[in-house]
Amino acid sequence: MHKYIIKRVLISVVILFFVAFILYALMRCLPTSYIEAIARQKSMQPGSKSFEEWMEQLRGMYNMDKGIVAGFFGWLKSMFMGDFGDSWKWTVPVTEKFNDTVWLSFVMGAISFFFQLIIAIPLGVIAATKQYSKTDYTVSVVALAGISLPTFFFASLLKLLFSVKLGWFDLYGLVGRDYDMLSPMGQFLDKAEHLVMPIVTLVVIGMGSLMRYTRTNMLEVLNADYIRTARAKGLSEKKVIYHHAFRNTLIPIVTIVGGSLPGLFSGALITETLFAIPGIGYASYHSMVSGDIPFSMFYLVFIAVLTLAGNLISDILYATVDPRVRIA
Amino acid sequence: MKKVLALALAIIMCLGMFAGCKPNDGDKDNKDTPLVVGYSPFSSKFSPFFAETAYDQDVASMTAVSLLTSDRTGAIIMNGIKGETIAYNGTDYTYKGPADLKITTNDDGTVYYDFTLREDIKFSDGKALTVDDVIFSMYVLCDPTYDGSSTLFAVPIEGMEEYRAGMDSRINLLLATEKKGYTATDYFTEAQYNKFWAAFDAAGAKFAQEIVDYCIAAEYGTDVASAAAAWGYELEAGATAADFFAAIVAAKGYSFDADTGINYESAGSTIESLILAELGDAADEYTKGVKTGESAESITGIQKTGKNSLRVVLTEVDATAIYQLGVTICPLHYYGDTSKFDYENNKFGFEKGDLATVRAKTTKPLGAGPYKFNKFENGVVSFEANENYYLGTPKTKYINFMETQEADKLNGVTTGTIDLTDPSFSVDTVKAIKKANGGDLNGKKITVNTVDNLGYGYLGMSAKRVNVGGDIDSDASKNLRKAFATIFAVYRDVAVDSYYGEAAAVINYPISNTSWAAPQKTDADYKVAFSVDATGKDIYTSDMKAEDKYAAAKAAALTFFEAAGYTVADGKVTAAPKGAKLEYEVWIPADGAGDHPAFMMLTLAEEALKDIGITLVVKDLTNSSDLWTGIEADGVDMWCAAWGATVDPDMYQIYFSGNSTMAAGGSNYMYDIADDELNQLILDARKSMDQSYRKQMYKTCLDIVVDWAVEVPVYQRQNAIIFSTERIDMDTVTPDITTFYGWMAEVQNIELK
Repeated sequence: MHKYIIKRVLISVVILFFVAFILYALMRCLPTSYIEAIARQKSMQPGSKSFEEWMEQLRGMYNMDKGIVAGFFGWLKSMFMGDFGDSWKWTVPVTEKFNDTVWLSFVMGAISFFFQLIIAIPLGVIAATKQYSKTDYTVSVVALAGISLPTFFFASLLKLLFSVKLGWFDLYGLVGRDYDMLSPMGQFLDKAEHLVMPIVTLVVIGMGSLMRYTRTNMLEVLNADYIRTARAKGLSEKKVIYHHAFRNTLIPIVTIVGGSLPGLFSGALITETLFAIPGIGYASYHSMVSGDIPFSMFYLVFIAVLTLAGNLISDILYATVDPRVRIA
Repeated sequence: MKKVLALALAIIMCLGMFAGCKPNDGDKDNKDTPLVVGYSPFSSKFSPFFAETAYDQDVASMTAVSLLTSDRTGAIIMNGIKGETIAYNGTDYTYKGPADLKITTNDDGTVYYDFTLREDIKFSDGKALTVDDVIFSMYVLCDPTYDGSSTLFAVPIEGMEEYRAGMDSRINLLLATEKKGYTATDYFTEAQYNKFWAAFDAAGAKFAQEIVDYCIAAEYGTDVASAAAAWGYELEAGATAADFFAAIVAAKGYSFDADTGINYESAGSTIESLILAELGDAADEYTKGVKTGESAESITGIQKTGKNSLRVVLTEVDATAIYQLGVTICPLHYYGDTSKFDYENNKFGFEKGDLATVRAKTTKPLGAGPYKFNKFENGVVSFEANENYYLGTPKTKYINFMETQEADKLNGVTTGTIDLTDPSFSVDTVKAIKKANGGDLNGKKITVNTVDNLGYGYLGMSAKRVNVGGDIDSDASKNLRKAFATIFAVYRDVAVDSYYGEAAAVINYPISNTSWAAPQKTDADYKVAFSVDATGKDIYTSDMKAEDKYAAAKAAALTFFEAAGYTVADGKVTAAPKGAKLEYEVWIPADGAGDHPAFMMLTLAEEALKDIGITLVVKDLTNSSDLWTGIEADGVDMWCAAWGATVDPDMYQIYFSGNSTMAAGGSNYMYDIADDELNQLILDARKSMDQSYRKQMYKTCLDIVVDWAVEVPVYQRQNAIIFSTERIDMDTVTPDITTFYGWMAEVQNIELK
């Protein structure tokens, strides 16, 4: 097991190196350049230096005067020293902005993940036990709709219905107009109210696949010999499903759930942007649009780390629950 | 199953709690309910010194006051302390400001700007605002290391150059020795001196070799001597690259200048980049600023003349200076260090060349403005009324600026999330507002105020690329451009109307309508742009229908093509003269989807030109920065874009093409217009303070620009501010807002219902 984990970690490091390089190269090749935008703006001021002169000065200032490969190793070096640089757009150290925004995204992600689990798994189990019934079809249709609906479409729908038409929630934003005058409890509830629509969006968009996954695995288990044996020895249907079948379905589910845990930190770029929730997704969206390389690089590499960690965790969990995998 | 049921019930109960936390407006004191303004996302640079985006600047200006204020037309209020009453749109308005200003023009050409400050102004932290704060603010803006958006340092203030020149890079100081040998100095050691000149020579040889390589590759020569000959230098046979470089230095001197110095000869790399490469890791110590002995300790033209007064001395008349001198007054005790301020001893609140204390406050502004900056959190900038505001405590205690996506702005107001905002004003927005109000633009839900945008849309032509035989200012070249311009101009109305509807108007001179120098329709010599043919005859009559106008424009364009030397037969162009083409390209950044106010104009013009035998290729760019790159590389014939404008109509930046003493304006390369008469007029207009005289001069300038036909003025767009009629007491909103006097100008009066 030790060897297996060490091997996987080492492979991850190599992958990460290449991913980071590709990301850096892509960021440098983006058509929106923060420096160009600033230089253009400054060169249009009366009595200013020319665009080219500004570009030269700014390239030096922002360490962009090197080629992509040299620039990447420079970035890598300072990253190993723990220096992630200052965000160009937010004018604070990258890590500070990250710390300011990531926890909100985490809370949002964790709550919606929790709801996804408690809604998707039971529904998946029900759909499997009543295969080809009306319930099964309803659940499947809902799940497929959830998977297929684009986030922006569903979020806009929610906004139109619950904010514009019914007026139940504010259209966007994390806090309401009276936030500063509320008690700490009131402030908490104000934020909670503003997170309802974003979380509903995330839950509906995210639970479909988990529901389908549970249903498929449950069906597989229900067709297994030991379930027939359990039924044959006269156990109640409830006991068969929740005691014997469900426990065995949990094996693949735990793997997939464990693997998604790191993703809770990654934020929800589209949902956060649509609801103007200042989390990590929102911050990274605005950084990317304005070509803020230090922050975007940090965020994208962070996502890469999370994805690799997610895969690693699910592989390890799989190996833990299913001894056959360990040999590989 | 029971557990699941219990959990579901628990969740429903939790959700029920949210219903209870909806704010109940009826119970609260109305004064404490914040006014919420929808803003596009901020970037946290709220300091008046360093704010860059318009939104950040608005946050800064909520918290600060400027030395000078302006009226609704953008004119500066000279008697701010007592106030001035000026009529606008038939109503008298009184404007007050923190200072009085008296301008005296002296016989020797210098100009005094005497400021007297109001004595009762306090910053929001209760400390008094004094002339020291003004001096501190000016010195920050004039510091050699200042890199914010103010250009006060470019104003011809007496002693400014001496003060800013006080710091120079080591490389420039070394260069100034002209390799005449090391003499003891504080600026560099002998080792640094020797290392620099070694690098200079090595880099010079590479610099010369680059030229030689280029010449050999282009078959201008076969060795150093013949390559140098192609470059205009005579060298003996067998000369080396180093000899070649020595000859260049002998001719150009020890200067890096691209027009007169060594870099004039460059075949690619600049000499300084080669030197820095030679210096390698040590390059940093050469580019760093060194305090030089000749540095002035203060700016002689910024003088404290009394406890509450200040004089700024300009070396020459500069009509645009007044807008730069109205600096934002920032507290010395907050942004600077009071212990470092001693006017008599040339200390101004910070170490010269070190703005660290100022930069440290970039995210948290403080000043004497109507509101105090509270915090920027959760996507909301919150303000609290400044009780010390010199024009009276604001009526609404709290104001929030809330980050809002463009798409949510209108719905944000109708649903009550925000109370006022600035949606992009288009046909769709107008429709949606009318629907919300039940038919009218101003109604029970929304009130709309529109102001002209500070800038205008245009179609540009590069004189360098659209001409006949390479002669940019010949009559033939101008006629060629006029032929195109005439066709474009006739389709402006239909294009602008379909894209903007009532939110924009067609303009006929290349200047924003917001400017006092913009010719008005009522003026005697006002003309529709490009409305005459090559003989100078008017082509349109007032009773013409659109279709007739299109036909008339085509006929007129043909007269111009003919005058440009094109062969015209049977209403068609059949051949181009030497040095001109039958096909030209126009670039438009319309997202690749034709989404641009001028796009329809181009497609219609494309068809019309095809009818008369000319091919116009419309290139729709998905990425607008491609356009700028293309223009910079001189690779674009024509393009559509928009100019931003300033209060003053000075035309130096775009149309001034340079003369023996002054460099060309920073954006002049785009059209490449070069006209001596225009240059002189631009300089003269700057040197006068008489507005009606200047207006006349600018009219002549505009006529010259139109005659060059490098620019077809297209539209003047309007910006809209929408207010929630339901929640804002509209009688308390700044009346008659304009581009220069927005809703924020009298923010202290706004009240919620």
